[in-house]
Amino acid sequence: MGGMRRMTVTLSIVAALAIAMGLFNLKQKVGGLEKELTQVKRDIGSHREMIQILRSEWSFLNQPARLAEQAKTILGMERIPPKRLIRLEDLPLRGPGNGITQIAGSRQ
Amino acid sequence: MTNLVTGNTAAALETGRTRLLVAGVVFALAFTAVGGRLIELSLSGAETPRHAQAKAISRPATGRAEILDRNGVILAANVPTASLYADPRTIRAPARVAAALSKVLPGQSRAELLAKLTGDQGFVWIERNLTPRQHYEINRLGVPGLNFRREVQRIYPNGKLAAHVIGFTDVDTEGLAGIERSFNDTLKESAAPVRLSLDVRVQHILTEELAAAMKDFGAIAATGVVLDVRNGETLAMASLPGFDPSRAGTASSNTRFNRASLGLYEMGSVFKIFTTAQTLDSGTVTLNDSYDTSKPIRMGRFAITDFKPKKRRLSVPEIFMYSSNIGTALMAQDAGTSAQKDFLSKLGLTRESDIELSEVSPPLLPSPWRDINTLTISYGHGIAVSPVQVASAVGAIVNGGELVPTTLLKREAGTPIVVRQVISSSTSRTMRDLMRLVVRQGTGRKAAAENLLVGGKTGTSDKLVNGRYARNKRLASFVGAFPMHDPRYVILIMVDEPKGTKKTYNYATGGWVAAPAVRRVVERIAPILGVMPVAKGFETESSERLLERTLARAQQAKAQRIAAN
Repeated sequence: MGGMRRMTVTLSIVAALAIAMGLFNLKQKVGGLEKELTQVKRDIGSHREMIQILRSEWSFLNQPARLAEQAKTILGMERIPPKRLIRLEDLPLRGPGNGITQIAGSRQ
Repeated sequence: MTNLVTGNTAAALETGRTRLLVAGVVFALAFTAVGGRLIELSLSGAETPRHAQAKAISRPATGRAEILDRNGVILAANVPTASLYADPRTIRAPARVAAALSKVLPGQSRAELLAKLTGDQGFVWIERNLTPRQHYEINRLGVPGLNFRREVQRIYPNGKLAAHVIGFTDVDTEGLAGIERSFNDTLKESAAPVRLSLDVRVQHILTEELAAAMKDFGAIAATGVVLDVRNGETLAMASLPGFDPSRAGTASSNTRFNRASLGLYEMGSVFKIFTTAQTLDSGTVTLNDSYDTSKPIRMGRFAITDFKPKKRRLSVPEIFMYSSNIGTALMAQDAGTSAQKDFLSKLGLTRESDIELSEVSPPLLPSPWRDINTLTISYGHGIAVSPVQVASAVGAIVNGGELVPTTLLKREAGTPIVVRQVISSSTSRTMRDLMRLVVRQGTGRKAAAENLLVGGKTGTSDKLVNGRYARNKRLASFVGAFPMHDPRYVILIMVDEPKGTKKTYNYATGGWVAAPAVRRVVERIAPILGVMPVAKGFETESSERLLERTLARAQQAKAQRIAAN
């Protein structure tokens, strides 16, 4: 009887201690996570703002007039005269037996 | 030990033990419950994060929604900005700080900054709405006493481009003009952007060519519209001179004026498209009919004359292609006043445009609408309408006869559009051939863009100055569509008060001023819009036949006249 009682008491104390420690740990973890969450939320907010700013800047830098100017001065590109735009069907075709086969043949 | 304890004491001890046991069991159960919950939570406690997530995504941090073009290019957006203020009392070396700041803020001199930084008040604005780079640079200086305040600014990354359509807001970001005004509530309440039908590339090209035409001819203003004839979408709408919407407060009312929708103009010969379509569709005239245009029409002290008189009988196609006022007026006279009134109202030319802007004007119509008005309206005088509604009406003439409501919003594919049949599809085809004829052989030859089958009509009208038509102040316009065998886009360009140059032999007519501008715009936008060039020299069969017959009949008429003399 006496041994049984002592064991119950010991078990109870051990259980109580274990649960208290577990609870404390959990509380700490939750506190940490909550802090992290607030930080992540703040980061999302500032990233979102940054994205907004960068998108506007992208739009600003892509103004058609600016692109046209830069393509001309930096890349030396010219406007395509309408004469150079034709349909694929209107390109003179290289039929079988001339151009294409010759190239294929020269490789062998 | 137990032997010594007897009687009452033993009973009390027994009671104590029992109570202890009961308490122990209760506590044990309670701890088990807590422990169980602990395990449950650590294994599957997923309630809290879901809650946090929902809160984080709901709204953009910066309020008012964006305005985008049809391809998602930002036309207006709110961006958070930082504004710089200083607490002069805590700044230790104002001279050094002023020197460093003046490098970052080009707008302010070192002396100005020093004056701000040496006061004895606790707060002074240095610069509002810094650029992100400036913000970063100032942060890098690391000067105590310089602080930032967060503000939100409405920005227009494309500057002057499409400013009349986009509009602008006041300092409290309330829309005052354009889309900012007409969609103010939507922009304020929903986070979703307003997506316009405009294409910034087309808008840029149109604006650039309008500016070039204005410069070449010393004009005071110009306006242009590009519409999709199938769904009424506005791809570009420009009005020059323009303004910068981020500085709208300092812009003059002349530059803020949207000539394309708010401006009312007597469009001149462009209206012959409507008269011809009306009389052909009702059967009043056929392509084989002809009218004597050798004598001016006299109505009291008023006479209708031709700009370049042919002084002979002209067939209906010739009247259109040489733009004869006399011939067109006679055609309208045959059809009658009420027919004209009905037809123009069917085309939406007697009420204001249904475009989504508050800057629209109802047309100026004659009241009462007398027979004399019918004659002048037939060639575009005595009625003032906005360019955008003319473009829309011309779209209906060429697209198979359906009037499609004009819109500035992108139409999602598959949404039904309420259209109204205004002329038969066969009249529409004839009109396409006639408009093509004008560009092939008539007054609009300079609008001919290579292999893109432009068709259209020129217009030159004298401006009303103090109630009289001024001979030297005119509006030169061209309205056309392309490609004419299967029209996709209608384009209207109007130049205000162009002056003739040596290159144009002093002419400042629609054919010399607006038609070449239309050609340049069409040549540049067609590749962007995916309009395929046709094979070299391609014409539709009906267009070819119309040209041949018209020229043959003209030869015949000339020969008859020579024989008669």
